[in-house]
Amino acid sequence: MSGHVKNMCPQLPISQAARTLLSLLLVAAIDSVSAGVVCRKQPCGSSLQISLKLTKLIHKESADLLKTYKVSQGDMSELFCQMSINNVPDPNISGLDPSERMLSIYSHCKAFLPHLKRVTEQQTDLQPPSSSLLSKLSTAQNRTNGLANQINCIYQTLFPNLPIPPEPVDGPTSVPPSQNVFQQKVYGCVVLKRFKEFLSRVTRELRTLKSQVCTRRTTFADTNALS
Amino acid sequence: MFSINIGDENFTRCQQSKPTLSVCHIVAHALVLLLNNRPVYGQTQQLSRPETTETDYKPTPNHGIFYGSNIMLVFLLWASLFLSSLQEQNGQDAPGVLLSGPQNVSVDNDLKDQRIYVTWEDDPSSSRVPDKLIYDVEVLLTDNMTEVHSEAVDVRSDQASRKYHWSWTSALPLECTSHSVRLRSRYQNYTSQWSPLQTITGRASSHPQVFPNSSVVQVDSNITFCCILGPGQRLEYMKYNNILMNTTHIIDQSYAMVVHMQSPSPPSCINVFCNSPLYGTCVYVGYPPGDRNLVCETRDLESVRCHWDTGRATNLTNQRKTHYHLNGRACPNRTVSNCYQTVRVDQGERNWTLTARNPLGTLELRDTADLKKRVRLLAPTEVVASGVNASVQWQWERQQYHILLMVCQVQLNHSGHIDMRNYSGIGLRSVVLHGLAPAQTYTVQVCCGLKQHFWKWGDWSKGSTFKTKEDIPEALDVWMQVKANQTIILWKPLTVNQSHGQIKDYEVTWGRQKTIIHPPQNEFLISNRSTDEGHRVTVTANNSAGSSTPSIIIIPRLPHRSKTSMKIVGSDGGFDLSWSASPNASCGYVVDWCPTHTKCRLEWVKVPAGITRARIQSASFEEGVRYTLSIYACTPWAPELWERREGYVKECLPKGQIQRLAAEQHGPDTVLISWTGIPPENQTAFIHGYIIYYFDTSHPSSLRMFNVTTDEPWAKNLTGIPVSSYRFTVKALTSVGEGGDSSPVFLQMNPQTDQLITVIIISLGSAACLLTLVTILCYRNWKCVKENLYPKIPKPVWKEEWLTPLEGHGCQILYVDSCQPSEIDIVCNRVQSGEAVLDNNAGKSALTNTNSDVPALHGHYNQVLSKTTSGHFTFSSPHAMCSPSSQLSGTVIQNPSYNLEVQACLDMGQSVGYEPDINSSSCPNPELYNMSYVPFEMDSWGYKLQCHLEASSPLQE
Repeated sequence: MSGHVKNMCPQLPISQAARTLLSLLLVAAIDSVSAGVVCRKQPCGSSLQISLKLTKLIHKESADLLKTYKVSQGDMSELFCQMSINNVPDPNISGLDPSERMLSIYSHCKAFLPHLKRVTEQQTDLQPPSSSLLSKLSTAQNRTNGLANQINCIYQTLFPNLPIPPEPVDGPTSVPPSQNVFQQKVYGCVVLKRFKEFLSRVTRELRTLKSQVCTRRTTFADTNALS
Repeated sequence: MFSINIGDENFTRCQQSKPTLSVCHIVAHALVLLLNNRPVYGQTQQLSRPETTETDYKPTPNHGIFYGSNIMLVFLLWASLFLSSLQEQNGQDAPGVLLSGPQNVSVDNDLKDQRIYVTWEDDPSSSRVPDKLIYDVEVLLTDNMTEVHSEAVDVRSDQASRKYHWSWTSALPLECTSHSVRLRSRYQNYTSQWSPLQTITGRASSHPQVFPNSSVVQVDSNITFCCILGPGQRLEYMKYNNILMNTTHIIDQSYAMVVHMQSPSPPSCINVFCNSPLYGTCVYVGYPPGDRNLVCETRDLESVRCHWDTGRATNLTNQRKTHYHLNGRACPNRTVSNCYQTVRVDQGERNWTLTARNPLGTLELRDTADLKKRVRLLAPTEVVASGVNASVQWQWERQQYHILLMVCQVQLNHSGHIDMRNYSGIGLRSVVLHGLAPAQTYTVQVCCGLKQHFWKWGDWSKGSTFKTKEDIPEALDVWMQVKANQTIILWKPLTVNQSHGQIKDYEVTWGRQKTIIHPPQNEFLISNRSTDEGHRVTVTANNSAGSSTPSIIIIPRLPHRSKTSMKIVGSDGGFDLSWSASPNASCGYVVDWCPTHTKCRLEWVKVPAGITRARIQSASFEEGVRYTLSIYACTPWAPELWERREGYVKECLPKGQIQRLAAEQHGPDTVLISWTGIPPENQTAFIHGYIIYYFDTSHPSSLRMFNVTTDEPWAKNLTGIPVSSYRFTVKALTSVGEGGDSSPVFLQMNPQTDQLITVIIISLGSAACLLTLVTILCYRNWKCVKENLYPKIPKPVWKEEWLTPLEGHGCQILYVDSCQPSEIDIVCNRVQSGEAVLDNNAGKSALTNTNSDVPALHGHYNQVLSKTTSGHFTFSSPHAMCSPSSQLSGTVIQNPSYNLEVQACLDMGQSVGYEPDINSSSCPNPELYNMSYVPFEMDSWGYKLQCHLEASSPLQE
């Protein structure tokens, strides 16, 4: 869409006031669409490849994170992850066509972020400041945010005419209300477990997307352009 | 969460359960009203409005009714007094009527602390009680009204405030079940009615829950957890830290377990849950604050800095960690062991209180101090030291320091050696350092404190490094090493402290020659000593500051006389050397040393005059190396060799091996052992001797040893060694043991057969010579021998009538009487060649001669001498064979054996009925020649008579 706006600029005969107004609109448009994300035009395969590598990295780190988490919660923490909690995002990726599935991935990334943040906050009160768990949780948040931006860019590149809804497509999952420490432990374990499962699915999804979407990029682009 | 039931239930109960007391109540109330000038229903209003206090009370318009019924009340009063006197007489609790019980009872709780707070107001009747009033407080489990706590609370009647507070901590979390509280007042034996139950409702849940929630408890305490189940649920388990615990049923769906906290919990707390890991709680276990030793001071004269020891770790982190307040002001969040606050320091002595608080307790530490007397200065900054005049300057960051009388420590660090110097002054900012060594690098640090009211030394400044100026070197320590026609002038390199700078070169002056030697070379070779002027050598060291004092040594004109070395034993890695005083040692002694058998550079030490002992120590000393130590007397001329020693710093077992061990048999029982000793250069200790070990290889346990002193040659004869196979080894004997084992040598000793043969031959030869000599002697003295051995036998005397010729037969009769008895036994002997025939036929034993020639018979008699099988010499004699000695010459034969033999013959003859019958004598029947006597046993003498007669006569032939 940014490209869309750029094309508009030279076409207008502008006065000083109109130029100012146009600038404001341009900034507002960019903010509303990409939320500050600057997407560079990259080849499809390259962008997906980066995302895939990033996903693999986060997935690997999430497994380590979950392991560290369990160790840090005391005995019987293995059972915590087997509990079922409703408020934690579902790891499954929904949608039928690639655009919907890409959008689901993006939404999931965004949905997991507040939960990861909450877990980090809760563990901050439980773990010593030097704990590796806290640093890993912080890293997971940052990388997930980066992955969400990457998915956003890919989505914008592949489907330039499809807007990204502001709310997660799978419905919002609110962070749980105040819990006691025991419930926090259970909650955190479930969040991290599902986060890991989600990343596993994202890895498969991106691999599929890379093989399918990019080879037919032209077709999809044409289709979207037509739509 | 909980509810508090407030009402006038007590009053109602009083009326219903004890009607007699209703009068009491009425009377009591009336009495109170009279005393207080209050209406009766005013009290009822107060019960319904607990917040109303006595001081808030205001008379109402209904007072007119009171006055109207005054007569009635007086009546009732008198009536009640009457009834009360009756009750007292009956022993009842009549004064109880006077106790109306606690008023305005309210109950509150703290679920986190599991604490119940009860507040009530005084019993209105307490003002008339002269002594203290007691309130009984009871805590009950609401569901079954089981008392869990009961307590009597003393209340002084003269307390200004009529509102009382009481609290109690429940071991069981208050969520586990409902708790109720009630009170009553008591005075002596009189009690009021119980106040209405005030109930704290327990928690109900649709799923399992565990309480207390995230509690913090102290190590070594007991804590009660309860599990509240949902309706219809059944307890499956309760686990603490993954340990299945025993539970107790409290009531309905509530179960409890008690856990003893033995050790601190990890930061992530300990998990407790029941039935499902989804619902549980977490418990933190730690310690209350254990801080101690609070000390407050000031660093900058603008603030106070208090520090303390944290003591035992609380094991509580994050929100549960210890928080500190200093004099009521919170310390920074990350405070651990010190707290800083800006204050005025000129307030004189004051108290500093540190409050340490965590969920398990609060601790207060106090320190009293005048901060002006507790100044610990900050570190000096910008410390600069000058290398020229060794002055040190620094700055103070705080202007306030410039007016302080302070004392400063200046620490000089020179190659690890610390030199501390103190200086004082007002606002001290520079000092001058004296006595520093030239051309040395120093690191200087400064710290200061107040000279007046000294509290503590301040912080050390950062180190500043500088170097002092160079100075001329110290004089060199010079010595010499004489080798044949060469002399090496040696000097010790100067240490850093001696060189006073970088040594550029050494100047060696020898006669008119001058040579420059550059470091690191520190020796000079003089090969020609022929010139007289060449015996005086001067050496100086030069650096940028100048030349050192010349060091002079005089080379002896002639080589030193050789001295016999004495042994010396080292100790502790050196030698304790002593020597006799030399009359020429005017300037002391010089002791030099070197390994005896290897080339080296001499080391030496100079000993002042008058001292004749020295401890010789060197880093180059090695154990097991022989050193030669030479003691020179220092004279105004050349040094004189005075004494010499040889020894080891420490003797070691010989490492070299004894070589060429050989064993050689010398003689039948002598072995010569020879070997080559350990070369002197390989000797690691003085060898006192050698030990020869040998044993018979067929008997390895028969080890023998033989000591050989070093005075003996390296060969030894071992004698008295039986012929066998031996194994020989030789070891060197030193003061530290045996060593230098040689390789074993085996020797098989052989018997000396040649010598045996020689001995036999010699013996045989000797015997032959002896025999020859005897033969010769016998030959020359044959007659004598013959006379002795063969005495002449006299011829028999023939009688004519006896010796009549026999006609027909040609036989002659031998007269026995005329036979001379012989010493030699005459026994039966074989008649050889049939010359004599013994006729033993049927009592006709007669000695017959087949030949009629008597001389022939004699000749045979004299010649036949043979040895019988029994060893007896026998003569084949006709006499023996035929003489009838039993009758004729029984006394002639002296020898018993002769007697025996003869007797035997005689017996034999007798046995056969022999009778000398000359007439019947006849020539022997030729058939008798084949007869032989069968040997027979003799009874007593054991002789075996063997008469063997063979037909060997020519006739027979």
